Formats: sequence, C-alpha cells, structure tokens
Amino acid sequence: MYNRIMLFRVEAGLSRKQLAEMLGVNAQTIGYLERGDYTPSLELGMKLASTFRVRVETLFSLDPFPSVAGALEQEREGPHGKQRT
Amino acid sequence: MANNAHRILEGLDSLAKMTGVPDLDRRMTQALEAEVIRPFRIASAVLLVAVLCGLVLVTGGPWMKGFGFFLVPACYVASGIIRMFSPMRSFARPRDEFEKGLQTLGRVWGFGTVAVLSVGGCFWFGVATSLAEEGFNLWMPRDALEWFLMGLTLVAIEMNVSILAASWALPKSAAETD
Repeated sequence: MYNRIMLFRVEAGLSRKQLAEMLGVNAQTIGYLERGDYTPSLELGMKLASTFRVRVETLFSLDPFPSVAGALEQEREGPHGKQRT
Repeated sequence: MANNAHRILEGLDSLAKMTGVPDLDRRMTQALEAEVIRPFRIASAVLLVAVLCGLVLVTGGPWMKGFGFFLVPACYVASGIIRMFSPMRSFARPRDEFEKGLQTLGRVWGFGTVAVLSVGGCFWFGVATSLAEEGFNLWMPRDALEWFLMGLTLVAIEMNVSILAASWALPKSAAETD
C-alpha cells in the first residue's frame, strides 16, 4: 500500500505530533504510516483523508504514486505522448 | 514544636536526595510516560535463555539446584521490569490501533508458546511417571517449590516471548517526531 500522507502533512504545515494529536494516535504511528511500514485500518485511513479534506484514493493507492517530476513530464508531453520537439 | 517537625522533614528530604531515589523515580516516570516504543530484542532473548538455564539447573545436583532456585525468580523479576519499558508495556493513555495490534501479536506468541510447552510438559510428566514405575528416572517436579518454579518459568517465558515477538514486529525506528 502506498500513501501520500507526508506530502499532505507537509502541505498542511503540520508536524507528526500535531497530526497524531488530531487523529488520537501516537506520533510514532504516523511515522510508520508515512514510511509504509504500517497499513492503517479503514477507520484511520478515512480519518486521515477527512483531516486533509481529500478522498481516500487520493491519499492511498495500491500502485506507486507518480513522482512530481514524472507527473510534470507527462503533463508536458500531453495525452498522446511526445508532441513537442 | 512545629519548627522541630519542619527540621525533621527537611532532614528526611535531604536523606532521600542522598539515596538518589527521587531522581530514579523521576527517570522511571519519564521512561514509562515516553511516547516512543522501543524494541527489547537482546534483553528479552537473554532473559529467556537464562530462565531456561535456571530450570535446567533446578534438575541438577544440590549446588546447581540452589543456583537454579535463585536464577528463575531473578529472571521472573527482571522480565517484569523489562516488560514495563517494552512494546508490551501498559500506557497511561489509550493505545492506538498500531499499539493494540503489536500487543495482540505479542500475546498470541507468548500464550501460544506457553500452551505448547504446557501440553508438552503434561505428556513428558505422564511418560516420566510411567517410566519411574519401571525404574527409569526422568526429571519432573517433585515438591511444591519445584512446581512453583515451573510456574514462574512459564510466566517468564510468556513475558519474554511476547516482548520478543512485539519487538521483532516493530518496524525500524521512526523516532523522529518533529
């Protein structure tokens, strides 16, 4: 299971401890979640998604998320592959 | 009168400070309230081996027996102390789902091991009793103290196996909490 918890946490300007307090878990557990060492329950996953106001599938995925550089490259190439020379 | 009582209390305070107990108590409280869960792999493995050695010594001659009678309860006490700081410890706050899962895994391993050992022990004692009638002497607890030590050994095994299992299941440290 892959997740973007760290990305959204940093984006929201929250420390692990602050996020842990919001969710009622240990800050160490947030660390394990971010590293993918621990897969959360559906309840905790939904609480996380709700905290960041995103959909669960935006936060978690069974496939690796594309890197920011990769996503930008794909965007530049357009929907039909390389178009620019 | 009140002045004398005050002086006595001050004297007792200084005496307590000299012993270092208040400082130790403060450190213990800090360690028990610590948020970070730390693995205890080596300490619990050493205690597990030590308690088993203690039980083997109990089966030996008089001198070895005496040492075993000391070693088993010592390991039991040490295991209890280690457990207070291990992933199997109790928390002042409600445990989160990760901590609950870790402790459940530890308990399953601990009680599972003790269950297997108890069943194995029952068969062993059954065979030992039958063979004793035929003149073969296999060890089994004979008196109350040996039975008591067997009980302590099983409790110590449960504690250390559960600590070991929970410690192995703990992912590599994510101690940095910002």
